[in-house]
Amino acid sequence: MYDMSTILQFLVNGIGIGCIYGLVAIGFAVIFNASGIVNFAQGVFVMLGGIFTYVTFKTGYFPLWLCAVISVMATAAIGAIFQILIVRPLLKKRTALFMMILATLAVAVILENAVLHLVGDRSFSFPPFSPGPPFKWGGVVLDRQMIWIVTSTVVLVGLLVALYRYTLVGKAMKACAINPQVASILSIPVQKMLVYSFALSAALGAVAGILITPTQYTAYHIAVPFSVTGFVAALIGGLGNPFGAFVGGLIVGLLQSYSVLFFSAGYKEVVTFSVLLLFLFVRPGGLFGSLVED
Amino acid sequence: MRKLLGATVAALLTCTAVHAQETYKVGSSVGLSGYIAFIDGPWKDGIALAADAINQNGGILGRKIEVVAEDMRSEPAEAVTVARKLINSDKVIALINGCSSAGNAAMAALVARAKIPMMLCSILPPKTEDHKWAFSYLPPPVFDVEIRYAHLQKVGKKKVGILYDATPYSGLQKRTAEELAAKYGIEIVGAEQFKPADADMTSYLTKLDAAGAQAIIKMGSGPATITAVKAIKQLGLSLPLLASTEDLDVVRGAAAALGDQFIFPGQRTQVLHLLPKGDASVKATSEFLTLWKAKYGDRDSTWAARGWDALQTVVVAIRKVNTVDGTKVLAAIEDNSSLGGASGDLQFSPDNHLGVRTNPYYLATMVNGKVELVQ
Repeated sequence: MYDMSTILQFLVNGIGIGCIYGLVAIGFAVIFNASGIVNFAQGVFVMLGGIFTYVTFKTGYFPLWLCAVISVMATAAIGAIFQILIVRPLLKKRTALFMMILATLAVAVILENAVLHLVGDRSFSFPPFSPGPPFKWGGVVLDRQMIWIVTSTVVLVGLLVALYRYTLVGKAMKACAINPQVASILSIPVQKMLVYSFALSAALGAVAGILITPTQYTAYHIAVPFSVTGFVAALIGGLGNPFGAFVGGLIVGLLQSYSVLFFSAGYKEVVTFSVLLLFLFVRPGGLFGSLVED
Repeated sequence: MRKLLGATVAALLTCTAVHAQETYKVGSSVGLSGYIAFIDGPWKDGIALAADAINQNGGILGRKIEVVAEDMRSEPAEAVTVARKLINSDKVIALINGCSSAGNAAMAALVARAKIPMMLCSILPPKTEDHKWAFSYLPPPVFDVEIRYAHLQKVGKKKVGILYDATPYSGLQKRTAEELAAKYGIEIVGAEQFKPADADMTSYLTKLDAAGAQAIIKMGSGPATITAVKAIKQLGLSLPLLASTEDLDVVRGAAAALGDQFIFPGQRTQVLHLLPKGDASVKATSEFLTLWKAKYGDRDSTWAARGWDALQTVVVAIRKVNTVDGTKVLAAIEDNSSLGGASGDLQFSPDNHLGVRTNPYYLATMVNGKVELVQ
């Protein structure tokens, strides 16, 4: 049997990667909330966050934090352009939902290939934000980058909750999600809110990519697994609820981590998807349901 | 006007026909996208470099070589579609395929029916009847397992944890490691299967560490190695990681995190600067690297060297029999003569289609950005 410190270590590992999945899942939730679309290009935003940061950092002209800021802004801009050039015309044509989802997949493939041709097929990374050895308490180890991941995610989730609850823009985005026609009658610029939603979602994906890259690598092909796992997390937590999606991310991270401990690495997806199936049968709206029901 | 148009079309068709006659097409089913792209990309570039060098020296049998590379997207099903196109439409005289073992296995029967030699960056297809037309340039797993086990035995590390991926080659490496463990006095305390796209490996490493592993042996190449070594560092573990063959880009990323605790079986192309100068056995490697560096700079050439060797083998065989007839070329490849390749020494025979017969590896690490041999 495993001792308590090993079991706690798996908790720490699960929370760390769970926060990343949570950020990706929130991205899904933000766009779904605003437009009813499941955006399968979400993983691409994670990839772009890492790639943009690497490319700007590699030039040697900017400190890492500035590269991260530039990367988030650039990815958010791509999210906004994606909405304006692809999603908006399709929405105007009242395109079927599954066609919209296919469009997001198409955009994902195009962006991946663009990165492949512009940056290459190599893997890239950049240094952790705070270099140094990990902290140790008893037998439990906490890596410095992990602290960055957890802290940044908690702060972002808090800001997001505040955005939806206390700001005019957040309330307007929520109104668009509930009923875009009525929102429009109330002089809420629906299309503008959608642009904000896509930009926000892309920015969150980019942050996830920037936070995770120092603990692994980034490359043009990393997007799909993040899209799939993030989507699963969003379904478990509540696709229409950003906070729920974050909790879903944590659940998936912990499920994957403890699957490795109690079964083996090869079974972690079996366990995760079994739990997803359970949710689809028992609680199809996810743990926290939809934001618009609040 | 009609006459002019007809003449133009006829002239174009004639030009096309002449062009088609001027080249021999060599097909290549490679994963230029998907999880294997990081290997197959350089492998394809190695083939192209060899074709350029051969064409500059007059080609073969009076014609130039044209390499037709098709992306099988790292998907076995796509490999079959690509094979059909290369065989039926392009009429290739040989196939020099990439490193997807599953993809090459999927198309093996098709290639055997077409009677075309198929040179592989992967292991041979699993069915014995498909071996006849297939030749592998991948060193058998026993070589990289043995060199790593020998090192562990030397430094007194007896308990190892294995990380392996789901590819057939990685599975073969794992089975070989299990079979050879007792011979080297090694106990495998755990084996965890990862996916190349895994975003985090801290849980795998925590478990292997808890099981008492004194070192990690990783099967399967690719950037996931960087994730594994970073997980070791994140967890503050003092475990060395002994990787499989790796691209120098991956080696750089891994060594930056783990220093000389990251060890890998180096290829001749990666350690050439450390080998005795003037050694006749490395002449082909030197010649290849000169051309490679002129075109690709410091990009790693490990897989490219094998692609280069694969095309050179086919060309040597064609020149020997003075025809591109598949059956005769096959016999020429199998004639048991040794080819001093850029990637190492190669030798095929009718009963052995694994070209690498002696251990081609040099155990290496990277210190201050430079590859060094592990003493």
